[in-house]
Amino acid sequence: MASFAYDQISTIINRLEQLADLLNPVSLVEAIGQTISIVASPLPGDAGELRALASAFTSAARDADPIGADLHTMADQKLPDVWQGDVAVTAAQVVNDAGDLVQQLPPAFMYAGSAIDSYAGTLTQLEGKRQELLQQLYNASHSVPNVDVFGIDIPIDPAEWSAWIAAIRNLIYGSIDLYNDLQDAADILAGEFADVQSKAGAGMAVKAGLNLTDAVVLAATTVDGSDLLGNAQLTRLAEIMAAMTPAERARLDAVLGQNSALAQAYILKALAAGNPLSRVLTFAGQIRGRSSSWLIDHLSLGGVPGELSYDGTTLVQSTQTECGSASIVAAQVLSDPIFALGLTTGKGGMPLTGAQFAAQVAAEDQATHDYTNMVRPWPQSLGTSPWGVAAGMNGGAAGGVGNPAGSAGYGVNWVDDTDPRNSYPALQQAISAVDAGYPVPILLAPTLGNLGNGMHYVLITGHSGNQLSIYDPEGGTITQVPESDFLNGDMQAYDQGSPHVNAVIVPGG
Amino acid sequence: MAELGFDVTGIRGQAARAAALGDDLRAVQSTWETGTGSAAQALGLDVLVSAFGAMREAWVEQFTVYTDVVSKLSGHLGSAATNYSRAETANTGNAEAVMHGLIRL
Repeated sequence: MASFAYDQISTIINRLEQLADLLNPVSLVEAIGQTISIVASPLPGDAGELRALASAFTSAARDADPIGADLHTMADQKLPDVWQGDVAVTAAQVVNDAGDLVQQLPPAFMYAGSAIDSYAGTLTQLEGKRQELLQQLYNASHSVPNVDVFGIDIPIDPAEWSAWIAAIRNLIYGSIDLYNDLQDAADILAGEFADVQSKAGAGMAVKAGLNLTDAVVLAATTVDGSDLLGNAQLTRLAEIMAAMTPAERARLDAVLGQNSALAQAYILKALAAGNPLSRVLTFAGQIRGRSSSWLIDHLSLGGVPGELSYDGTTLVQSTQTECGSASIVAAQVLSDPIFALGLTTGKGGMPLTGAQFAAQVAAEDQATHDYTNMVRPWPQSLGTSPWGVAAGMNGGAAGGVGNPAGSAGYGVNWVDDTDPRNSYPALQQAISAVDAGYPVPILLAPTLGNLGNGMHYVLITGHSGNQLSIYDPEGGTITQVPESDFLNGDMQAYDQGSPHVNAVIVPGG
Repeated sequence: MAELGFDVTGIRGQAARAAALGDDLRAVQSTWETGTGSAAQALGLDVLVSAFGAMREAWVEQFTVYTDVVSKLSGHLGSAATNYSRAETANTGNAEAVMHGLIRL
């Protein structure tokens, strides 16, 4: 069966809005007929089949649940020799990482099943509402207050007419609500599907051309609970590695073989960020032999969960007007370990102190501020314009965050978060970008259309389940915010002073 | 030959366990693919059909990664055990080297 076009629902809503605006009583009588013909069609979808679909996910989740643990048990036993892919790792590590990935399936599939089940419930409820509205419309069409004079129906009581017209309008508005609610529910479910899709990173990386072993090991590498390489970076890495000459590949493989699994992941992340191979190989030499905690401290600023910090110093904006610049700097830290190493080490690779790190960050913030306000003229006293932030993300003072080849790069999507229906696609696009591994700056302000006082940039850094991780350059902390607050334009709990999302700066925006 | 660090029977057991896990994964995948293969009517709206299709395709690939890893593990463990036994039978005195050489992927 062909699917029903989402845009057709928008057309239905527009048509109903036109009908509801009719003032002429005779036209309204005709409008009832048209509304009935619209509402008479059952809503697209089948709640019973949706529940069966949900069950396929939850059953698979239950059946797969013990397999991940079994793989871990195997990995814990002695497995002979080396599992040699493009990244030299032990068999035990590959099997262990595969076990980690298999263990990601049950929660992802339970989430998918629950989302589909919830949509089935909403669809059932809306279908009941549709049938009720249809009956009421039929009843109203047969109760037009009139009198038959020589075969012509003539209204007799203006008050009765007014009441009838009001009732008809209510029914039409009820129908509009019905289709709006259906679109809202579909928007949410589509976003949840994208969320579940993002958990299948290894499969997507292999499809993009990455070696099986590399894909498993890299997709399973996390720092502070987040994937070190997002799906977009894995895809870009596959493209870069596929374009290498055999000699380049051999040089990379040789260097990877000299490093720990976590260091290998950082090296490949640096490559995915768009750094030239020669720079990546130098970087590999700089981090060789470093412990996991050293790597996480210096390359992810992840020594303290819930904040971006180094040596006790949080990554914060240097001045009141540099929240945009600091958000770009934070995005670059999260995207490019070579950039992060440049903030945490000095000449000769000597680790910096917290105070020296703060000075490096301040210089980087200022350079970024200068760059972004130059490419898009804007008074520095007003901070950074959204276009300037987009320019900084695309290739600012430090080179941007490394967009996939062919990407249109970051752009500005304006948002009216007081109009959820119209703003939802842009906000959902922001979440999908985060799911793909891109940090997303958002512009908050006290009111809509405000590009002055109270304007504040923060950065969405992660998305898991129904929570967004948002980095605030003012305090350097990463806060968990309910996804629904963001999508519903209700950021009051997060930022009381600037609760309105005015813009999201996203790839392809 | 426990003194060399290789227990052929144990490795064969690991290979069999890996194969069994692969079978389990394939069974889960097969049931799930059957149950999710024709979702268009259930979902109704084109945007949902499209988003669902992309998600499902990604997870089919992910399942393939799981089963490929386990299959490779099982296959190479089995080969290694077999080749080690041959080497031992041939009394080459170089069983460990043979073992290392043959289990590489």
